[in-house]
Amino acid sequence: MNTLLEGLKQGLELGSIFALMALGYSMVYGIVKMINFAHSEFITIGGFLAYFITESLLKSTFGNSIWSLLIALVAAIIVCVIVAIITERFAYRPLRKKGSSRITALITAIGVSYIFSGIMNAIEPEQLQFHKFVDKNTSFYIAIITTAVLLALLTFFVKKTKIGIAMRAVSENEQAAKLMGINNNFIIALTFMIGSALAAIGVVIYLLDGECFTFEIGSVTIGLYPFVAAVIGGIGSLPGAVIGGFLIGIIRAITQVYSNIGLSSWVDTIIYGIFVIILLFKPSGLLGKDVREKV
Amino acid sequence: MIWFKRMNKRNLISTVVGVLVLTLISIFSTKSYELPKILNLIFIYSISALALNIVCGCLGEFVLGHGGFILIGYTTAVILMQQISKLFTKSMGKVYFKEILVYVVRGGELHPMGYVFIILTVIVAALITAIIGFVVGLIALGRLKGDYLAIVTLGISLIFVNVCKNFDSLGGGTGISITTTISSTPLLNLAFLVAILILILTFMGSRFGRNILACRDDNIAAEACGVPVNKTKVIAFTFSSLLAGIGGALLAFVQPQAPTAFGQDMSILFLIIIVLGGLGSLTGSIIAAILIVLYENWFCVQSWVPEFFANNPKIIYGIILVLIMLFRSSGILGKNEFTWNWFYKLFKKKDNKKETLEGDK
Amino acid sequence: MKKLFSLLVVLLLVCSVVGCKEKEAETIKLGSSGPLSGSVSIYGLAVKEGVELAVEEINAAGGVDVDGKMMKLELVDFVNDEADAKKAAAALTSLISKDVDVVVGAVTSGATEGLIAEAVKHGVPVITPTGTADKLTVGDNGDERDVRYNVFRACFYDSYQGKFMGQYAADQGVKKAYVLYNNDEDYSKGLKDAFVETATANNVNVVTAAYSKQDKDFNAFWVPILEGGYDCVYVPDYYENVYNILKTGYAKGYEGVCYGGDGWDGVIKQVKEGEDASFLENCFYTNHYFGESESPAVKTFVEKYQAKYGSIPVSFAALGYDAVYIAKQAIEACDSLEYDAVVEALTTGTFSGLVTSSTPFTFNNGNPEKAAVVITFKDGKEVEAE
Repeated sequence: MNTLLEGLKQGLELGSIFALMALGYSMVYGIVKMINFAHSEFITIGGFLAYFITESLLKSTFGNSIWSLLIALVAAIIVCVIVAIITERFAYRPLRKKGSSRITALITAIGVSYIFSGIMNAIEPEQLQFHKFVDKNTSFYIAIITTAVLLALLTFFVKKTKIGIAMRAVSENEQAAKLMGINNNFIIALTFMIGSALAAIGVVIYLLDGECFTFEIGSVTIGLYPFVAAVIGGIGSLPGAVIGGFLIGIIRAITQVYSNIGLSSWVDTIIYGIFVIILLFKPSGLLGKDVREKV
Repeated sequence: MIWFKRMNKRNLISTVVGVLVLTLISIFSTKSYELPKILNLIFIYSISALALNIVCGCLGEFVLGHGGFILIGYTTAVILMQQISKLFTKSMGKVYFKEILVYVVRGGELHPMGYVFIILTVIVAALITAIIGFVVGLIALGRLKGDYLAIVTLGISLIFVNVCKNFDSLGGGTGISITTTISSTPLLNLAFLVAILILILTFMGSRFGRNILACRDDNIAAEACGVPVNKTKVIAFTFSSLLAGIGGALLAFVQPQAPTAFGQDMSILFLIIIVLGGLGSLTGSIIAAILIVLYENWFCVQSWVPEFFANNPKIIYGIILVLIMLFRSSGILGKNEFTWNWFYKLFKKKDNKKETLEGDK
Repeated sequence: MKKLFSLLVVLLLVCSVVGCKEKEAETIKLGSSGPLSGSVSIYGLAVKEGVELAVEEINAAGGVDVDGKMMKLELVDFVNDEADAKKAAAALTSLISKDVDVVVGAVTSGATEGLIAEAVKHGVPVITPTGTADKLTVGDNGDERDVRYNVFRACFYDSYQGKFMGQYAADQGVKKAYVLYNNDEDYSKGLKDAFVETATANNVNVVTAAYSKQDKDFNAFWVPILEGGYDCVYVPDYYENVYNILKTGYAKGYEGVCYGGDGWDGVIKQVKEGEDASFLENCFYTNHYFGESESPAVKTFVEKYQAKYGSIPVSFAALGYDAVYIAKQAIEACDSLEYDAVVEALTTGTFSGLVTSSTPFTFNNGNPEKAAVVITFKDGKEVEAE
């Protein structure tokens, strides 16, 4: 029983981190209908940056205080946002202008993610260890609370504010939104910014309790799981992404705490199996909307 | 055999000559150390890329799990060959068996029986892959399309990888291999490539092929015209996985590979190849496969190439991909096929010039 | 005509790849391959340093005596294979095209398997300094020695050290053992299987659990261990993961012992400055040699190494160093650079005076017969355990 509880707890923590990252995938897909493969590299960039800044701050007057962490977090968010803007502006926007096909957009995203991943690899191929700011218990509460707060804020933002409504309009019908006087490019860039900021927050919370990581943190360690979470929950749906994140996180942690009966080596089969089954029965995800194809 | 009639004579002859030249190179390449391997990989990558191109280029559905099917072909071929090997060792004694199968570059050559074994193994492996592909297609293609289909196929391929990883007899951590027992020759792989090209051209020229193209251009219009859309999709997907199985099985006789190497990265690599060559262009895929193989296996190992290229292929791939997508999103050949016309034009222009020069005199 | 000419040039270029091997008996060419970047780069770099040191030393002493002619050794290339089988296979072909006489490589088991798949076709003698997987020399089912006749290693093999540790655990009175292994590494799986086999035979109760290369957070993996009350955890993996696992486990309150294999070499370097390394004091692992041992061969090697690189060599450096000396002794024994002659000399010869083996040894199926040492940690330093 204790094992199960422990697994649930770790699953909730991992799940809320996946949820934050899944929100980014989900919002971007919802608005530009493109799987942003570079999102996983935003995660890596955020992690690297937070690491290098905390390492230098630890030696300064800030030391081991919460301020070092906060500064690192803010810096990571800012850089991730800038990287996202640059990516959007120079790789994705020209494609949208040309009205290119979806596969083109996807390949470009893969290309961008390859570039970032290659650069990260060249910078630091060895394993790094983040400074241990809080213990495992605290980081659990931080993860849960941050996710809940951010989900509430985002929902409010999307449902109630003017920009949020514009965002939904663009995702519903780009042409019509444009005709209503909405600046599409701004809205899309903003979505990318929010997504990458969430990725940065997610990865910093993930690392916070002294986690070890490599340049593959985005592409392998965390990997496709947030994306799978976004799809399971229903792409474009905010609560869906969070539910998906928790589901994947809990499955992963449960297989790990029951690793002594051999569950952990089947984690990919279990997660992707569930994923495929859900999609087959509910092609648009748990909370997604069905869209009918029209002539 | 529509393609055959459509091809103009000059192109046909040039193609035949080209294939003959390749055959000669393949035969004599065994004298070199690096060339056979590069040729082998070029032919095998071309086959696998063509397989993906049928679904992505011709059918217009988007698949991200190609590596999984190549993995099935690879694993089945290895296991089959291991069984054949065991059978022969038992009945004929080890020494005799080795005489038949071992292909050693220095001195020895692949025994004719070796060819027979490889071809049989490849065919069986391909059929098994096709059956699995059929089941996957039946389940996934009817319900999903677009990005969702891509993701589901990716998920399914990762399940294959996970299963193979968990059983040592199916691959385990570093994979199973047979290349120390038997390995194939460039000639054999070339033969497979040519046969597959003819097969694809015939297939695409048939009623099914035209149905596939109709589905790509407009699903709903095709259905309205009486094309069985779902059935067509499943057939195309099965055909594609059959070819992927052949590619994987041939790969098993060339180089050992771990199951994890068949995951996301390999699927994406083949996607890169077909997009680079041009979606829907068969010859484009082959050209792109040649470029990628030469880059990885020839360019990067040259001593005059800065280590940066060899150590960071991802950056290079990424930059090339983004640039191509931004400035020539249809790939090298677009939807066109490679022809020899440019080749003749080279000489034609010359001749014209000569004529005018002579006329001036 | 110009165009035709350029076409001809291209054809010539293609043909130039088809070069023939011409041996110029000026120097003895060594080729090597190993990970110089990536997650296990520490191994590749260490082997490289060991190999370079040995080459330098032999050349300074005059070279290798081949049929009365003193020939210098030359390390023609140390290819970076990033511990990848495909790249190692490509590395071998590129080394062959550079006319190498002996290949010292590759470093990790997976990469070595890829390298061997190519090497058996050429017959070049391959001495892997540190490839420990059982199958490297005898094939998947242990019956391929006649195919892999040219493959040798300078280290002991996986099932040897797994069995050794299983026996060691039983001797130490362990009753319940837990094995946490990496599902993506055959190295890890090989050690696990051997450990489980021996430990079970000695009435130790063993439970196994797998993680994969994407796992970096081991908190959840320790839950069943702490719940089950095991008195020994066997962690056969490379140092980065090992450091993670041990640190997490002892921080969570585990109080038993941890055992491991030679992949642990380097784990002490993962401990950061100012970090408390006392959690390592209940940990033991098998290694090829101990850098601070009193034996004269080790002492002189360590001194020379320190003079050149300024640090105590890890076992990988020592094995790289030994591999070159094995090659030297084999070439001197057969007085030839022909592949087959060298392979024959390696198969039949006796090798002595090596750093990682105090007694002379012969190769049995390509595996040297030598003993392992058990190493533990004290005050942030490695010490030999009794």
